[in-house]
Amino acid sequence: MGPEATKKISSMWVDRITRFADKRAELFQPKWTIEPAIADPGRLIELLQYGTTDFDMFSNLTKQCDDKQANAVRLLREQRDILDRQKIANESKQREILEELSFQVIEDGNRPHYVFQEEDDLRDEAPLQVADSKRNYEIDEGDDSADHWKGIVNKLDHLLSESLCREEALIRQINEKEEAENKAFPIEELEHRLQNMNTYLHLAIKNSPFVCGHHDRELRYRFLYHYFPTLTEEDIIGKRDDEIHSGPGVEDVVAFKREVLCRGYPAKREITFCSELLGQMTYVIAAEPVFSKDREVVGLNYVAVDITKQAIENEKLIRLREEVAVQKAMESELHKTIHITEETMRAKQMLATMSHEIRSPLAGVVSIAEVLATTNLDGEQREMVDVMLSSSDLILQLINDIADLSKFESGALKLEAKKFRPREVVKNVLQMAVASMQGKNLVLEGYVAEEVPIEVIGDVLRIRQILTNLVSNAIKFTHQGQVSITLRIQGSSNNMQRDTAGHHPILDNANRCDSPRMELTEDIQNSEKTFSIFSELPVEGPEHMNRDLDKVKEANICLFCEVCDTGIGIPENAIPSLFKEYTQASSTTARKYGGTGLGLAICKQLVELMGGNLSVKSKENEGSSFFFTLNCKSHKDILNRDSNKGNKMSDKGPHCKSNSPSKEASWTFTSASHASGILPSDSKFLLATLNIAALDNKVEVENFPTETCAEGQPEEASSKRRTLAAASSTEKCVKSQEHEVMSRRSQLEECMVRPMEDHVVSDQSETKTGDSRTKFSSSSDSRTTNSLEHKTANGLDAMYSQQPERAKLTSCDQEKVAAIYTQNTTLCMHTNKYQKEQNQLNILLAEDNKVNVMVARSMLQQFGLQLDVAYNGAEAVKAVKTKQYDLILMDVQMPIMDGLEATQTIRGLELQRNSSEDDVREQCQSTQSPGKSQGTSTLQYPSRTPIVAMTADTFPENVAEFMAHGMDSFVPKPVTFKKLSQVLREFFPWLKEVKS
Amino acid sequence: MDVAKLQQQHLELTQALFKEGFLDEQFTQLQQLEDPSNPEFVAEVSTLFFDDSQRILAELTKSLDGDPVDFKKIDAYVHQFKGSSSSIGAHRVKVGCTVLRTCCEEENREGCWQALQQVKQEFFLVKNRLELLLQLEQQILAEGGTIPFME
Repeated sequence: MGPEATKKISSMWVDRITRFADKRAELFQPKWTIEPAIADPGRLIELLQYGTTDFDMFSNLTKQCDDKQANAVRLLREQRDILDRQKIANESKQREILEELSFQVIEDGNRPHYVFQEEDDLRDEAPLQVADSKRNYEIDEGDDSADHWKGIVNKLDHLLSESLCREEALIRQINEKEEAENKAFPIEELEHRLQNMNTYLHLAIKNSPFVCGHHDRELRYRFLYHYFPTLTEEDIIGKRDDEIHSGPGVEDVVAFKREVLCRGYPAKREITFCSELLGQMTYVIAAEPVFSKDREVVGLNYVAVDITKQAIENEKLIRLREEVAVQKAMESELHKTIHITEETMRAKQMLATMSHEIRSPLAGVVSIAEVLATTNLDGEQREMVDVMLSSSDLILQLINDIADLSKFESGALKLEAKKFRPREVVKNVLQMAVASMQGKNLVLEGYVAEEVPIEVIGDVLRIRQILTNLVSNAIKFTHQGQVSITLRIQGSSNNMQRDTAGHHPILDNANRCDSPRMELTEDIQNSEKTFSIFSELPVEGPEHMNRDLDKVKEANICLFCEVCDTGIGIPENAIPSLFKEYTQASSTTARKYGGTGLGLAICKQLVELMGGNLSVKSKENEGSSFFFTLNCKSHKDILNRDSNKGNKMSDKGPHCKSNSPSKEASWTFTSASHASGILPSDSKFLLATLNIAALDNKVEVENFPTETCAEGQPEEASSKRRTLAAASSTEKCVKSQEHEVMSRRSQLEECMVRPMEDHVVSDQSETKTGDSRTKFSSSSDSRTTNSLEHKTANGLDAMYSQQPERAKLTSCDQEKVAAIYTQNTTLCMHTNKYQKEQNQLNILLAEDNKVNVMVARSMLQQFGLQLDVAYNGAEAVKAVKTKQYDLILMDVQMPIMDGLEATQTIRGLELQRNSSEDDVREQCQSTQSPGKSQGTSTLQYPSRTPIVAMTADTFPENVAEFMAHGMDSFVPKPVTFKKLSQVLREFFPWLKEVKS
Repeated sequence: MDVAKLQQQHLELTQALFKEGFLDEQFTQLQQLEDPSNPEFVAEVSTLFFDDSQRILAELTKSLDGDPVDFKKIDAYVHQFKGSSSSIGAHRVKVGCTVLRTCCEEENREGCWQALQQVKQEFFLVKNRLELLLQLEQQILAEGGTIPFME
């Protein structure tokens, strides 16, 4: 068994593989044909001759064959050995038999002997004639002679020789077989094996997207396997890559292969082809050099795997990753921005809230300070209070500005569309501006072009805010010369002319002062046209007006406003940042002139909100000009109605107020055109809307019949040119002088702080105040006289030297007044009823809720105040018609007519009343002789009744709406005693609780 | 009854009214307005409030039954009611009015109805309590005492 086992073991793997391969071959061979690889057989032989590597398979096969052969030989030998042993055994047996036979022959010689009984295999080869021998034996049995034995021996010899022959044949056979096997095995077996291997190989690589090939030393193809061969042998064999196809990547692959050849080390590389042959494909190529036996490079094998898809996907992936990265970066950036924005918003929100929160207590501070200023103070104390007032005013302004800005940003700012009178606006702005002149020697001028309609529709509050801002800015930065407002319709040829004629004070301010003739003539162009009509040919007036009005009837007009000054100007490099928030031309400017740096930003935003654009022209040290356009609508109905009024008013015509603060400053405001249409009362209304109620009673406007006689002296020209001086009525001159003196007195007597009281004071309690008039400051006396003298000397009685007392006040104590003047929205100085006894105050409560009425009544009783009650807006209006009230508490939401409407109606009534009283006053002026009585009559200005809203709705924008409707303040509901008394003290600071 | 005891009761009742949110500081305002010249101010205002409110509630109920419901009218009434309840400091009634008003703005009839019931309930609750309080005040005054004032 030993040899058997070794045989099995030694041949095991070969057998198995062979068997397996056979089976597989049987399975697959019929189904697929082996794709032919393109090869150069000569090269293979070459390699076989001197190659070292890569021929393992070949030598393996040879070795296997050798093994198998050796195995077969061994097996045969073993078989032969067995046979040899059998032969020897047979021979010895033969001898035994022969010996035995010799004895048995003697004893019982007829026993038959079977020789080679087991040798069945060999029977065919060397047939043994057993039957014969048996027969022979049987025959011989009976024959016991020597011959018989001899015969037997011969026969046995014969048998032996035959056996030997068979043996020989067997050995021969074995040898033959051995030889045959030796011959057949190497070729057939090897062929078979190779076939199997090939099949295997093909099976393995058949569907793999891969190319393998062999190059010789020149990188010429000697073999190529391609899974989708499109090229024939001629195209490949003996050619280099770059000879087969071209395009990006081909050069690379050749270079790579060359590199591998040179280095002698295997390498891998990813190469993307883009050739006509392959198209866009990416391969990863593994190349390895082939060495000869003496380690010389003889060629190169390579395998290339198509990874186009993977490469594309990879690329996509990379792109995606990049995108993701970019996106992430953007996202984080965005987050940052959002965060910052949120922070900013929060900050702004906080700022807005804070502003609002600060405003209320600050208002308290300011009002108390103002009350304090009314008390008896010595010089030092007064100074301190003044500082207090001006400082708090600055804060208030800043806060208002911030609140405005945050409103823009939140988009909460809504514009109103209401009719207003541009001329009034300009006039009022200038009037207010006087307050902030602070002793400067400036000429303030206003010009409203002829073609500007009397009334236009727009947001007057905002327009006024813009103008006020610009003018106060201009005044701030102007130390001498003039500040002017120009208002005209854009695109009008008339104005173009004006424009070119040099309406820019920056450019020719000096000219204007020195040679006013030019200006004058220009003005006269307008004024002559209109005023001659109105004053001399009044009949023609309306026609003229109508003609003009027709022009503007087309609803949309574009107002062009310009504010010019002759101030320090703005350096060119500062202009771009001029409109930015919190920016001033320079830090020095900020230090020197103060201010929040918000004003212009607000102006710009406002103008833009109104669909215009704010621009600036400036020349350093010469002046600046801010101009903007506004889209407004003209109001047809009103125009017609007002044209008559305007006509009537026009002979009151232009107003000129000259104010000589310290020396000889004068400011002028005239509407050079026909349609001045400015009602003093109107102005009051508008002013009041602005909550500069303090001005109301101060602004005295004298209206004179006008005529352009004012070919005055150069130095007066600036005022004259708009003044349309009425000729030479000395009486008027005296009158105005008188009036001035009077108003000066009253003003002085009230010590500036409660300027509004003047009229009333003289009006109602003349005796009381009589004494205090002795306090007149001589300086103001002389001042006025100065200006008056000056004017009369020039024969310019048409210079309406009639001063608004307010303006005078300002001139007396500019700082203080400035502080009071600047838009202090909460502090309305309706102190005109100062002298009235508390219980004499007439208060109207418009409230529909009985409970509320009762509560309010009870609260007012604490002050000893009595109430009239109107149960709705209409009743309130009715009550106002019949009685003069000092204060109206107005519920906003009421049946029939709500508080807002009622307020508007009441304001309208006041307007009418005031204008009618204007007329009365005028008559008085012309008829009465100068003197106190005249003064008194002038002072009979009906006041603007403060109206306080009562509402549960106290959102700032709603409160703003109340204000816009003409209300002055508000009390939040439910009304508490504290809040009510606060509001009451706004108007009547002296109110005291009456303890019963 | 002993004045001190009455005053104690009064104080407790007032405190409870505040604590339970029936009244808010506006009521204190009214109490503060009461002085010798106007000794029964709170009572007067309250009575006025009760009468007025009952009228309004009746109107409201009627309006809500109407078809179609005139929400504008209801809104006007609720506004009034809210105003007076707010003035008197009837806090819970005021809150109810706010709800009712919202429903009214939404023109939600069902919501209005429910809110109205709520308001009614709150109103009668506060009315009862207040009347009790006023009664106590009367008694205190009758006994010659002064009305305690809750800080």
